[in-house]
Amino acid sequence: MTTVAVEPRPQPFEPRSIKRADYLNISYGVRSWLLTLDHKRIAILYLISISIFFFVGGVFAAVVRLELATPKGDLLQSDTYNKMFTLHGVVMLFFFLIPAIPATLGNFLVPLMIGAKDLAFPRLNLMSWYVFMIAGMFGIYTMLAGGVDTGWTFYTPLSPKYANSQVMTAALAALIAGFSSILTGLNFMVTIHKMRAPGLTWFRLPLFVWSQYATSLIQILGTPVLAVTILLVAAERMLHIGIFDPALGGDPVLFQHLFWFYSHPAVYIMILPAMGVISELVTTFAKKVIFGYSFIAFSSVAIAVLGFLVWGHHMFVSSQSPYAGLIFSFLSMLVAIPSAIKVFNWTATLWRGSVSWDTPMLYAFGFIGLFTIGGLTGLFLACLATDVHLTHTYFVVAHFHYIMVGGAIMAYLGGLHYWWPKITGRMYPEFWAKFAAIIIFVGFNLTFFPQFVLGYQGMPRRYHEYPAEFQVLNVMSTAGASILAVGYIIPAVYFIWSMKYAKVAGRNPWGATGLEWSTTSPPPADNFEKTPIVSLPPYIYSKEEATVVP
Amino acid sequence: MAHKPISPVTYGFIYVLLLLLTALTVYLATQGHLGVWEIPVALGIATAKTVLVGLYFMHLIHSNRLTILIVLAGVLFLVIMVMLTLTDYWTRSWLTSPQVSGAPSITQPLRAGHGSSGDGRS
Amino acid sequence: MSPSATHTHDEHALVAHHFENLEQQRGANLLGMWLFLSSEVLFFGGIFTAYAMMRFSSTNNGFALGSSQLNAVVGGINTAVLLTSSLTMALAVWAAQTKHRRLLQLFLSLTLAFGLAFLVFKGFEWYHEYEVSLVPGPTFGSKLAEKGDGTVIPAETVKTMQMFFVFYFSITGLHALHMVVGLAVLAVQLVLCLQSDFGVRDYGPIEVFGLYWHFVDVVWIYVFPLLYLMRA
Repeated sequence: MTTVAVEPRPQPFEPRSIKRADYLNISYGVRSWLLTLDHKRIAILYLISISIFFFVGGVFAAVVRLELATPKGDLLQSDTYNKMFTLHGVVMLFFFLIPAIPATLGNFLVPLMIGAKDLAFPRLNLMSWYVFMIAGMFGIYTMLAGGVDTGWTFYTPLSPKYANSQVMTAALAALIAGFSSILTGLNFMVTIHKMRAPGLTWFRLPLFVWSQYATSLIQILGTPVLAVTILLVAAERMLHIGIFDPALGGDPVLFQHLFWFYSHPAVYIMILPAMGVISELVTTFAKKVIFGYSFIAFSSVAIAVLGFLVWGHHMFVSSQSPYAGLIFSFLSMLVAIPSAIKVFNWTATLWRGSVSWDTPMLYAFGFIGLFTIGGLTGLFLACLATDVHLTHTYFVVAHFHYIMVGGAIMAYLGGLHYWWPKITGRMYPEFWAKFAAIIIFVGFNLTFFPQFVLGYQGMPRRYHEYPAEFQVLNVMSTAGASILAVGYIIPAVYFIWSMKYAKVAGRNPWGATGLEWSTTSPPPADNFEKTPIVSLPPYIYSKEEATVVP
Repeated sequence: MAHKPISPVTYGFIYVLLLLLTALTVYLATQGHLGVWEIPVALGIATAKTVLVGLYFMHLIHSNRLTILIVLAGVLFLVIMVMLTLTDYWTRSWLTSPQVSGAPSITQPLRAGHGSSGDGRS
Repeated sequence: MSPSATHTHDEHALVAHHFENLEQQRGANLLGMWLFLSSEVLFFGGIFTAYAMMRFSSTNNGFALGSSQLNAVVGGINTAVLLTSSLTMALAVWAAQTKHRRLLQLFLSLTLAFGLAFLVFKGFEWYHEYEVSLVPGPTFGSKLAEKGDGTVIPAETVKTMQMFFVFYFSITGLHALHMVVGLAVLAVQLVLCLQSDFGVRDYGPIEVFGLYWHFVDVVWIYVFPLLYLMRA
């Protein structure tokens, strides 16, 4: 926060050799990365960290699916199984999905998209990565010291009283990761308010920036509640005093209220940036102005706000009052409206566009379909009567994986492919990328669609054994998971390969609009040769559109 | 800051008001016998004090709309949290069935060692 | 980096390279602090909500009884101490804005002193509560009978009272933690002010910290009635 006088740095644009100076080659060595204040380098640090966590979380998922290939618990004991799905959840949610798009693509792109040199608080940005890594250390310690078996939700009174696993370190990991998330959100919000280039009014912002803004709102206002709740659980576990333990006159449902006040909006931390990515992809690859810009922009904010009103739908079968359930059910239905607005606007954008089938667009198509399925099945769960039948079954598991994996990860991969030329200066191999995108789509559906059926038929979640009649669908799901795993490994390989060997991308390989494409790839350390001036709304692909759009 | 700093005299005046309100709320709580009005009055006075601190000490009176909006957003989300949680606690007793009213009664801790940590202050 | 036309000579040294000018930098810092504070509202809000719900749903008068174990006058005096530190902080910001270096040093020192006084008071209060067995745990309430008028408090009510004191220690503890962080930053700023023209050169950092300090005061303004004054 303090003002720091900056010594004049060596001019980055001085052509020392024929090679142009960009943020990647301006300095070398571990120090230049670990102490960097450049948002682009910090984004890369995040990218590497969360990719590692993604593969760790993926291993846990693989173990879970392997166990479920047969009805008997022949691979794992039940307590080991509990640890596997808990660690899968903790790692994937707190260490992959929540930071995934904001901390990598957002960190890289928000300043570029608004024509700024950096985020408003570069030191805070670096600090948030270190905080994240400290949380990660706690997470890794948890795994090595025997794991945690409460489920990622840390429900009371199990977590403070009965669980004999590393609950404390796992909860601390979530708490600390939360602080990193708050810092990122705060940085983005100030940056978007204060650092926009001249002429870049709110309604000329790319929709990705709008979605990041809405996400930041949730991060700032939701995460602290998780923090204080975890502190209360920690106090209860360590000191045997507490407010969630019925034996001491407390109420476990209170924990669920506080927990879901954050953790339901946290779902929107994961999906809102994904929606932002899709908005960018759809216009670029339809070569057409987005349909209903302001509707998409405001629906992001609406989702962020409404997302705070619906947490009780996770608690319909707890001892929450059914009258409260009625209110939460109604409010949950409302969130469908802004979500649907977005889907309709994306499809309307495609209408009469010249749609090209590049890899990012394949992911965008995947997202729109899978998100729609995930969203509509959410309505089943928001409805009081059907939820009683479906809750705690594989229907819920399938529903949120359609949103998280089919939605957030699809968009994340689509965005990564789309901006990869900007990030590294090189293209990815188109054939392999398309191949992987199709593999992922197929593998994903084969993994999770059977789970809808399983859940509807009544298979409960979080058990390592199941009746033999569920086996066919479970084998399908496990087979799908192995296809999905292959689909995720292929991009990891060719992305690394592409950094050295792939075709060099120009400034703007997609012919896209947006300030990030107006600078070189990879961008120089200060992003732009000179501060850009904006005079048009975004996504103008033809002269007619420039006159039609206000 | 585009405007003139708030003068020390104003600060002093606000400070005296804050002290008076503190004295008033202590007096009402200890001598007042307000009954059911005790909680609303105490929170009302606290809110009045908060408004004074916010407007003058924190310069909200000269702030732009954005700052006010951020403050209100924080307050709004707090109100949402309290009100919607309250819908649960408030309506729990409306159903008379013993299965749904009140918290579940899990009274037997499985883990021994409860209460072995001295006075619990470790 | 190439200074833009809006930079004056003095300003240039104060503005980080990614900001256009001092105005933008100050605005960003203030906005950042306000956002952080709105986040803090929800942090304390979480525990206040829990407190409100447990109080609302409790079936005996344990919460009110717990509240009346606290000394409202001592709490009131401590509130006044904290309000005074808020006043001196506001005056410190004024001194920085009007470039009175001596006054800035004085007011920052006073803020530090009143802040410390608050914590010392609070420490004595906690110690007193420890002595009369009001710290939650197995021995909670063992000395309650000595103090009262001889009436025996039912076990259920004692349990609720203990719940009240769980909240009391959690909330005042978290508040004190915020005080400690604030005092640490304040001490650093004071040292910088004593050593250099920090603060009068650019009042931004003092103003931003002032917001935090007043916020901690505001939290106490609510903590005080919620814990000390709800005795009915």
